[in-house]
Amino acid sequence: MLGQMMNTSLMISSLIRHADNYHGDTEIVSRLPEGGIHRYTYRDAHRRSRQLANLLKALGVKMGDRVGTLAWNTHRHFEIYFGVSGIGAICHTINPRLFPEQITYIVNHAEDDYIFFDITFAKLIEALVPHCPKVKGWVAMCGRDHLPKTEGIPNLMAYDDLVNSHSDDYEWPEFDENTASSLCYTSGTTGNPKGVLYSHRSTLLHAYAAALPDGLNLSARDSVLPVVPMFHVNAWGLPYSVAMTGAKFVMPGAQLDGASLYELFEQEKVSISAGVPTIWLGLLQHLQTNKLRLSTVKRLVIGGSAAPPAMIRAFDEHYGITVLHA
Amino acid sequence: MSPLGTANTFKLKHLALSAEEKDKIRVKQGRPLYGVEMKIVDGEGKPLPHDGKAFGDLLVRGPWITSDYFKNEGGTPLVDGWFPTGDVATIDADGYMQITDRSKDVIKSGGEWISSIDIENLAVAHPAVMEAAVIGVVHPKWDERPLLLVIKKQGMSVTRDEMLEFMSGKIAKWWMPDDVVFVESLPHTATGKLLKTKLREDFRDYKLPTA
Repeated sequence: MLGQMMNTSLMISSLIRHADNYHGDTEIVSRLPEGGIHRYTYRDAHRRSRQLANLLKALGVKMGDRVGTLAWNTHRHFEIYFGVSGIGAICHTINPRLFPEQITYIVNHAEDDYIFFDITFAKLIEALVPHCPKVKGWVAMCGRDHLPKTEGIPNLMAYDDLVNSHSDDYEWPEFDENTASSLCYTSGTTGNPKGVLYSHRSTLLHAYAAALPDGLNLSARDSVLPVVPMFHVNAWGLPYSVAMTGAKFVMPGAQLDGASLYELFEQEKVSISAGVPTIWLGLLQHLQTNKLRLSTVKRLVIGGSAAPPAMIRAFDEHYGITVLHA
Repeated sequence: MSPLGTANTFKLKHLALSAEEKDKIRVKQGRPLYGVEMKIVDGEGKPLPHDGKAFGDLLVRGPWITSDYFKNEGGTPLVDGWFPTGDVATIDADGYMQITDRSKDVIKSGGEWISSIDIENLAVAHPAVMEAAVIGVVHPKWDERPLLLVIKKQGMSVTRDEMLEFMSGKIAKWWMPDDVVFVESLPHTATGKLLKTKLREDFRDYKLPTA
């Protein structure tokens, strides 16, 4: 006998719709690669994701097509996470710290139709263009004013202007939750990188688990700053978990040094952040050297590699911050 | 192991423990979240006990663990339905997992395994140390012996002998590095982990004082 509950598919688009409906005025803050701080809300992010969905349709992107990103953690990358997966295409995040030869291999292996990139990577993109002939267009994640001045990138488009030119009238489709949603290549030390293909279902289940109290313990009272990059393992799924819980989301862009992070932590009242040990060593040194305190951070989450116990103790004893392995 | 297979928070019974006993739990990677199963196995694939001491290759399974790579590149990575993480770990009776090394970074000395991460953690506890890496260097008698590489904090100083003196007695004698080299920087992977393949290459011909 089967149960008689609704068989609603676990869709990534349902996360951003939920955040809009119930946390519409909660802030999303980004440090922009072109300079300055950008500030808007889940309602705005959802609207722009729908505009992006219409743009992708206009560009001919279909279910299962790959759309690449070479980008920092910013609101634009956040919109791409939801817009691309939302229409059933695959958001392929590419790690810009890989060697250019590896990136070329990855773009071609994934058969990316379009690449969205932050302007900091314009030189890298120029180097990729001749080796990636199948890419149909290159979208700089900025407004027209900040387009890289180059002849070396064909079909170069400005993200903000493209997105703004499309209607926000879009209903997210519902489809099989096992459909591929995002793709991330492992940066193995030997052999060619291999692609890990996430599904809507795996992403939603992971987002639920991550938000649990004995996971990252995320709630609508948190301000979350992922130092972990959205170009690697979906920033541990944090973009999805914050939309699920309605937490404020603060993205640090390209500036991951101790001083820049400290500034955002204080200004945006960040309560929890996540990163690799090297980042926290840099922050700890900044605090010690300049005799600073963090007034709102409660937890720093470590992943990727083990944190030195001495660092865990230093944060706990001198700053009252829990360093948590995950 | 990718983030959020485990998270490290206490159980009710741990709350009354002393700060020192809590520290011993906190340094581990944590308990599996619901949805993730874990096991450790020896070189022959035989399951090892969850006693917090035995360490072996860590395997995981669950609905957000990969089963194949894109376009089935390289064939299925699974072993009997489990994904090999490439980490070497212990699991204790309460389910707390601790990574002791990457499978390929573990130092094989005289037929025994030495965890490079344990030694690195100890070295970083020295107040003058910014970052540390331990790699296996070829040794004529023991196959491999640990070499400690250290970046000093700005404006701080420490000598090789002071470093070894600081570590002495805090780890097994045969785990003590055979030498210490001070470096300006350490190579990292694109995801921020120590790039030990590069270090092993750079120090391939390094002659240990004990060799």
